[in-house]
Amino acid sequence: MPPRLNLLGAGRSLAARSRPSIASQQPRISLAVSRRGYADENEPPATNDNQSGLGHVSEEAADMGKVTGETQPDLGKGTPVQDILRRDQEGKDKAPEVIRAEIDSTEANASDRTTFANLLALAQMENIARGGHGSDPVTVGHKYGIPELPLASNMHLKRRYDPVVNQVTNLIMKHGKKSVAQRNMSFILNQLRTAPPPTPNPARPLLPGSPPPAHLPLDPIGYLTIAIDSVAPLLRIRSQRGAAGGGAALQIPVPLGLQQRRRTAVQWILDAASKKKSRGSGKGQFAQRFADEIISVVEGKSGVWDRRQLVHKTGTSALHKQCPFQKYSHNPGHPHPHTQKNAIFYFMGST
Amino acid sequence: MASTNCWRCLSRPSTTLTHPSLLTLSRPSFSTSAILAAAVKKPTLAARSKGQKTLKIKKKAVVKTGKPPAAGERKAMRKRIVLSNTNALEVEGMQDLDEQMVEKLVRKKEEDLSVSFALEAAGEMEAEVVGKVVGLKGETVDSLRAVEAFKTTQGWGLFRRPGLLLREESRELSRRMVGAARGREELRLVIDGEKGSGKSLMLLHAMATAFVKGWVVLNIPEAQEVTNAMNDYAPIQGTTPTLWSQPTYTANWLGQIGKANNAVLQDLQLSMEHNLPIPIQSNISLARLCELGARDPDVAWPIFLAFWAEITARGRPPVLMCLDSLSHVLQNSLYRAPDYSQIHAHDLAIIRHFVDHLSGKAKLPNGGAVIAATSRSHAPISKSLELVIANAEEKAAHAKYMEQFTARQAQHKANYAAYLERFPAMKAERDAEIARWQQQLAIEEAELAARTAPRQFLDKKALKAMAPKPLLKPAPYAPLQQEELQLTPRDPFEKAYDARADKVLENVDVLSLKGISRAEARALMEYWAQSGVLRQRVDEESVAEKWALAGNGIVGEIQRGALWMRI
Amino acid sequence: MKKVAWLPASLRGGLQCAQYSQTTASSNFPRRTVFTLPKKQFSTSSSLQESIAAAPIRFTNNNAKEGEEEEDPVFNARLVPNSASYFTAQPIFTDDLLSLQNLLQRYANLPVLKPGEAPRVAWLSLADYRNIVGETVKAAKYSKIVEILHRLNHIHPSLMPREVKDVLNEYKRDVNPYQNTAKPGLVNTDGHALGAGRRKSSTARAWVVDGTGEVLVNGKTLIEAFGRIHDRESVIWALKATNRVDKYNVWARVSGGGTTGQAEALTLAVGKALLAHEPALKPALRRAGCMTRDPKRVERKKPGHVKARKMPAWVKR
Repeated sequence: MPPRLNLLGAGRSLAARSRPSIASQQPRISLAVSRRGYADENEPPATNDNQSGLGHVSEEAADMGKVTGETQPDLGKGTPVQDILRRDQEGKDKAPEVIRAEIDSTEANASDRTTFANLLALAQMENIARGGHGSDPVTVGHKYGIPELPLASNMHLKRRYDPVVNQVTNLIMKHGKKSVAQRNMSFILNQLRTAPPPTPNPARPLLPGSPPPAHLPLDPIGYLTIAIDSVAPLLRIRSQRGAAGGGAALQIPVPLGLQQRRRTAVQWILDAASKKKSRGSGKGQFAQRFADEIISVVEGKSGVWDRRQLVHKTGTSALHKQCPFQKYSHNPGHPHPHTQKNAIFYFMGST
Repeated sequence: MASTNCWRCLSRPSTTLTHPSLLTLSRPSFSTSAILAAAVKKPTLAARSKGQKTLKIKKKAVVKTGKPPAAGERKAMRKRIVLSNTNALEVEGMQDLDEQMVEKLVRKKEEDLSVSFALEAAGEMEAEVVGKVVGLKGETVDSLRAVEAFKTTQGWGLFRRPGLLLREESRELSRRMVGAARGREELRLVIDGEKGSGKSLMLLHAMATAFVKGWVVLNIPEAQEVTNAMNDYAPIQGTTPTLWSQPTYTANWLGQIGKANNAVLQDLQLSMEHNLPIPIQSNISLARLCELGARDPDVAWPIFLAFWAEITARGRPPVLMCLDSLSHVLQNSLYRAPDYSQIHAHDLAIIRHFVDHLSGKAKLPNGGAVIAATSRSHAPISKSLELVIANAEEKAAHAKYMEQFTARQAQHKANYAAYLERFPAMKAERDAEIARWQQQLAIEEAELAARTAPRQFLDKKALKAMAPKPLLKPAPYAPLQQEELQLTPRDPFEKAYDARADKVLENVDVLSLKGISRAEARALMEYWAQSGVLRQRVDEESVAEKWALAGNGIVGEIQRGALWMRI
Repeated sequence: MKKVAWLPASLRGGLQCAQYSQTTASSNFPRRTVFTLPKKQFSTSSSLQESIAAAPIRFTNNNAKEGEEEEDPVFNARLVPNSASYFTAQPIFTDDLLSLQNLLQRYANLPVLKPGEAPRVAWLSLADYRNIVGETVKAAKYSKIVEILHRLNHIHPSLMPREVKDVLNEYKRDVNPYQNTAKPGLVNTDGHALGAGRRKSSTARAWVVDGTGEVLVNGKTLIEAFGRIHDRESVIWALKATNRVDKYNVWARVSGGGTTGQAEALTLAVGKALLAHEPALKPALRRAGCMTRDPKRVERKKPGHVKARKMPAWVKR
């Protein structure tokens, strides 16, 4: 590296060196001791006596800045006396009045040192230090600003679609033909937004908090989500052979997670849609039927509601019939092992 | 061939030898497989059914429930055109495409200045109309619907009412149409472009403009329907070579024409005598004439001819004829003549009528336009059309080049003139330099001579080469090299050129559509967002992204990417 | 010696202690280290004996080091193994673990680096370790060793004791794959940056230049090259995720595989080329999924299978 052509800075650092007492070495050591858990210097201390571990004042102050997290003096510039004085209260008190006044005034705008313009300026100075020109291209690592992190949730290559859309697309996919499934999906969503707004059935309420039906068509993904989430069952029935005694199967309700609930609902809707008759001909007939089924779900006309009702009814009665864990509920000493299930039935009461 | 008669006895023909049974006997048998195969006994049906399993599995008969759809119902559903979505939001401040708007669109730049000052004074200064989405008036929509200008694939059903983007090419087309009508000449144009670049919509724009301006519009919405042998056809008597009419299609077409142009046609009355197969009152309107033709397919073609004669008579409005998917009419049709020879598309009366006007063989006395659009989806390849389009593009590119070249050449000449002017000064400067050089050389030589030992070798030759050369006369003018126009030649080995198509396309203009600009894309996306169908912020980044994803602004692909596939 | 030849190798050394009366106590004897092991694992040569839990015999005391005090010869009436690990299932492993634990205990108070700042080291794989010690060490057991090694590796390098360094070196793999860092991309004098990417069986190279968002793939525009919007999006995902679609042009060549593979190979290629222009975008691109090579490939077909895993249908007889 060519020598730095910074005569002014050199002068400053010379001036600073004339007061060795200012260069505080003590705090550095004590700090290192107090933060003993992590030692985070990047380079090991030099073993050779010629390369003393302590640099000149500016480097030292820069290291300090790194440790304390304060703004660091710029090594390219050399260290103004003021910067050193700011760290050293005793020196500051003894400093000339002009310098003291300057310190106080500059302390306020220390925060705006890391602007882009500043970075650019620093890099340009570095160019000069390297022996080039200030106008040489500068590498800041980016040209148009860095996008805010974390990125939006749909900005990952593998998660670019809405989760519901993604799941439904995968469920309507046949023979691994995803592009066909995606085409069908877009047809379904388009159908939802061009069909007249649904008229919900008060006996089959949608999820609480869903928007009014007139708003649904312009948000087809929301439409689809509400339809699926509204008919999604809260549980499935697992029948265990012989558990009821005498070889009879015991019906055990098992709570479902969000994905599983949606999956079940979509499967039911798919079943219903495949049983429908298409009215037209050509492409997109399946998608048309699926969209019709979604609309009829929201309107409470679909047979899918009955399937859900049936599962819930079976689940409730199965839970009443079986007693293996009822004894827990009477015993205050033991928490109920199926608290989650109880929560489910609490919800089911409302449906 | 050897005689079948006996050689020794020429008089008596040996008929016995020609007996078929004897011939077969005498033929040597090279293969025994036929005999063996004949000997194998095929298992009888009874044997097969006795316990032996066959692969045939009986399928359950499909149980049909409900009423099957009526004939044509499913097709009607497929072809249904929805022009409104009541869920979509009304776009506020969207202007309609009316006569004023067309005027504004076609106004020339230089005209613009004077008019704009006047408008500014009146406080009516309007912004640029290109790059805006305009709505279509109700009656225009009805007319366009009647001529089947809307297509199912264009996504009209997403918006509250049909809107049209005015792009740079729309302005050009409108200008040329209006100019043609003014000069009572016809604009003959082929619109070409990539798939999804808006060719059919450009046709629609032309038709909408024509309806707004009170033209008579005849549209063949899909050339394939005329040529693919799906309609009845009959030879027209007294034509050589034989022309073929398509009575039902013509009747239907006349009906469409009458319905779409009703506003214009009902005010126009018959002005000539026609000898038609049916008696017709002499004072009926042209709209009524179309109705009569639409009613009876047998007389549709004569009535169409009468209608055409009326519409091209003196003082009638300009006419616009449009046709989509041109390449279908540039080859043999699927119809067959009675001798089973193929009928060329140009021998179909309707197509002949269109291509005669497209080629300029027949004129439109009242002015107007004949516009055909190519199709890039499932259309046959027409080598003739491809060549014409390629040549047109090369010509356009060359014209653009020449424009730049002329400017560059002017600059070059100016530079040379400046050089000539500067030359004396340069010459003087150079002479002074040479003088200095020689002076320096003399000094050095003197120094060298003064130094006695060691003697240094002075390479005089090299020094001479290094000496500055005197300027004698200005450099001659070197003209810029101009690139010649190079047209794609006809492939001499290509057999697929169609001679009749070549003749038709001999001198038609080509309007090739490219992608829309970013500003136009932005206008379009803002319109979608205002309609509530694009749920996304429209800013520079999102526009740039959609524009890039659509292969540099292919408008159909922008729509596909922003509205259909990514919701 | 000959008398014990029938014994298992691990026992032989131990028995030697008893055969000869002049034996030292095991505690004083420097324990062998695993990694001075001879290569021949299965030979019966006597050099093997060193490696086994019991120490070799010292015939005389006169080769003892200076400063070490002489001990009284101890006479063991029974066989005494050198180490108590002898009674475990994997004596060598146990010894190793114990010695490492011991080491850690000794140097637990040394300052350490922040997690993640220590130099990345590839430790011996389980298979390698098993090969070396010749014992059937379970994966979970070996992970304990690795855990300690990991902790020891975090001791601040300036204060790392020599002993620890030596031990760590013994457990290091011969080649450290983590030293193999990717070369940063370069922008040439014309402003072109080249990136390469692969996915499935597709290979892509993309040149990214400052521009206005035009993309050419094999000389075709994006819509000609990819019919699916999904694929087109994949190609420019790196630009899209960082809001730079209108800032760069892409010129790419891609070959092999199908459309999805080609598109996603291009994702990687464009991402890497963009990184050459703007290295500071790496975290963003990583989070956008444009920096990761998807290593999945088609699984190979196996003999006896119809496809990779599908078995022929069962046929009766």
